[in-house]
Amino acid sequence: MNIRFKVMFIFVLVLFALWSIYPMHKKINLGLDLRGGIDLIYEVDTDELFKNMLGNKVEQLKQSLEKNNVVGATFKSEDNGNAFTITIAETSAENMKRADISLEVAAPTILAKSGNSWRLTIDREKSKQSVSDAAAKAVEIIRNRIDQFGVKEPLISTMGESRIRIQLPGEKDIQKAIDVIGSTAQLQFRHMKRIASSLNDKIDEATEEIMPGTKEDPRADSVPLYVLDKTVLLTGDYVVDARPSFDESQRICVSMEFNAEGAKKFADITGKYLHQNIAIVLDGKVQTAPTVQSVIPNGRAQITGSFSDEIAQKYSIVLRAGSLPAPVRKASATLVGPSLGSDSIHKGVVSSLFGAGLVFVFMIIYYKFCGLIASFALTLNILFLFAIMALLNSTLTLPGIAGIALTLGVAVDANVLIYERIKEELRAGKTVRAAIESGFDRAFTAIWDSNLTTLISALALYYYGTGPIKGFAITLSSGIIISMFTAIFVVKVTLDLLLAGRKAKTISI
Amino acid sequence: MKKFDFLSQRYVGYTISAALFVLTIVLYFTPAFSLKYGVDFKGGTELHFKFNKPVADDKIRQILKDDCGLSGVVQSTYTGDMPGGETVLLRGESREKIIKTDFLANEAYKDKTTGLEVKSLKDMREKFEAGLAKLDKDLKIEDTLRETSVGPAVGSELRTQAIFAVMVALIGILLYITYTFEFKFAIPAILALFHDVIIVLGVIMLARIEFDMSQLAVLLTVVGYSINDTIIICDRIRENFKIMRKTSYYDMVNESLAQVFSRTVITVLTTLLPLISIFFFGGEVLSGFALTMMCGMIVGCYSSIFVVSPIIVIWKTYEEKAVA
Repeated sequence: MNIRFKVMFIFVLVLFALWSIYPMHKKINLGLDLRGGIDLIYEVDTDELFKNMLGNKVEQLKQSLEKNNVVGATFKSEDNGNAFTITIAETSAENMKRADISLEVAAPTILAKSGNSWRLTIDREKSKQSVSDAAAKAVEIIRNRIDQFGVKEPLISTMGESRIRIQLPGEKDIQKAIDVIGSTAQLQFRHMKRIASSLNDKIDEATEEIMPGTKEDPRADSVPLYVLDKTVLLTGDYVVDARPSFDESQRICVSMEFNAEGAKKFADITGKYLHQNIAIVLDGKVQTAPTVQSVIPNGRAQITGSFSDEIAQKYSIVLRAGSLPAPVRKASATLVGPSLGSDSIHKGVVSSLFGAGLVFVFMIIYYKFCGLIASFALTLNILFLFAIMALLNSTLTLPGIAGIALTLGVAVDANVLIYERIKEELRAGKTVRAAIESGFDRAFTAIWDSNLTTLISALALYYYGTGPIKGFAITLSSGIIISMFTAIFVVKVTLDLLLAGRKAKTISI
Repeated sequence: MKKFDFLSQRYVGYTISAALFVLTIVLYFTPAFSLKYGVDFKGGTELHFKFNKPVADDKIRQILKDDCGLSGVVQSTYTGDMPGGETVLLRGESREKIIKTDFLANEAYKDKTTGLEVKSLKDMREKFEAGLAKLDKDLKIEDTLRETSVGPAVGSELRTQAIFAVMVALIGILLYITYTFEFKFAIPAILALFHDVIIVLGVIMLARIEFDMSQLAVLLTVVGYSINDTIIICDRIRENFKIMRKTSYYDMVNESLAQVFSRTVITVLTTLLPLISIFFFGGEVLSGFALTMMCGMIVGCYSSIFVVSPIIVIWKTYEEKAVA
């Protein structure tokens, strides 16, 4: 490569870096410790959670009754879905005995028997653990969602029994944050029986319900209504991947893929309801209710609804991250100040700057002229580091600032390796030119292998880690790549440029 | 110039490493020193107070520390409208504070350095209010908006994932070193990483530093840095192995260590410089970070000379004898 071309390349990169961090206060996000952010508290909707638990239990009991050949069992939803009555019409002693055995699996729900019927309710006292489990699960899922939306360094934890606390750094837009976290994205596949003409249509309350669809046409006054079977055939829990894409008629859709178990279920469902309609329900709204044209064995499905690009993107992320185990309600949303005092911040920043300065001073004193060149490369290193942070939307925290100062100390390692090698070569009697060439050459394998090893571990941390581990991997790998570039490429180009056309007898190193 | 014989000092190295290992284990089982997890890892108690007048976050932190012996995070906030809004928040001077401490309601807490003790939530509150009165007799808690336990920000699932990620990273390192060097370099390199992490954990316990997110970052950085150091040495050994055919493996490794020694010293120095500055002038928040990082850097460099190299030599010599 021509030297002039290399200089141009560095110059263009510097301009690009400057552009990407300007203006700095807008491009570099500061962490919760330095600047504060949004504080959100959510509460698991326990009523809804208990209803879901009861619904699952009912399904389990139905299967148990069926397995034990109990005849004449009916289930009736009561008290707004908070209780069920199970009645056995066939009251022969044998049948009742089998029913008793079948219903033994009712715990942790309460089963109150009177004659040939039972009343099934949730035991709230015994289900406390389920609430805190649901909150803990919600924390993990919300963390996943926030990770995918690219907000760095959030603080998420459970709070009390049923609450979830989320702090997002620097964000000002409370509404946007709520949008991401709030949607439960409970995806359900259900059998659609027919279109309803109004909410008052006559239906079989025990097995059917009416659910609204979405507006196909934004100008329409009403939404279509569907009569659905109450049984949920498949849920979003089996989704392994979801991405926004386009269907055959170029409408925005979400295409998703099920895991092996989900794929099998989906194949069974499409087989069972061939040429009938399956409703795809997201957050209590029928997105679409296509007719099954053929059995789908590969576990791939598309949701075509009337949604915008943005909504498709959001649903994809939420489906990928998993749906919340129960709906969550926002309990509070406020702004909070920095978690560190101004005095701590000031000390941390000043000492980091001073420490970074020491590295510059040391390099110049120890390596003189060549140290000056290394310092120049180090300056570019800092610039590029900030540029990458701005481009990746990373968040700068106080330990992060200290980390950058440390990075500089580590970044000069490549220069030290090269310079020590050049010194060795000079001692061995080589000319300046030859010593520089072989110094770079020979030090290169060491620099390359050591950095690549660290990079491999950083990639593993990025790929398999979450939250703070992922953030650390990003910082580490960008630091490595930048320092290799500045310490080897920039320093070499600068040396070449300064020594070009001259026959240097000595070099100040 | 007479070359320093690094390998002859390996028994000194073994002794130091073994002593540090034992120290770490002893500390781990000594209640007064056992690893103290921060609020990020073990959760704690959160209080949301509204005071009768504005007060600085720093003052509240001071009271928590001096009167209750607790470390904690204090953030200004407000509910509803507040004149000055964000500026007041940024300065940390609003009337409402969210106070998160590492105190767990179900266990009494005793600060080992000051001897201050908190027995219960009620006790903590009394001590806190006494501290408020000392600061300013007119300053009072007007309203308690929240008093609740908070779970860890780094929960068990995140911890499991982190451990899994680190294991995958170690396997990656193992494979890459085996690929570019050889298996006999990879095993000592990985052993050295465990060695370094264990010793740094010992330092964290000895200095009674709370294990939080930034300490986790220190451990990961130490691993990255230590592997760097090891590879620089391995690279020299690989290079010298080709050109110093006649020299014994022992002497060749010794020569390699001597050749990279100047680089090792200078790099340790350049990494220590910013850390020394942060340790002495960075304030309380960063001093723990700087201290453990410094120890990690030194241990990482020490282990590549006194742990990795001797093991490689022993293994190689053993193999040569076996062949002969």
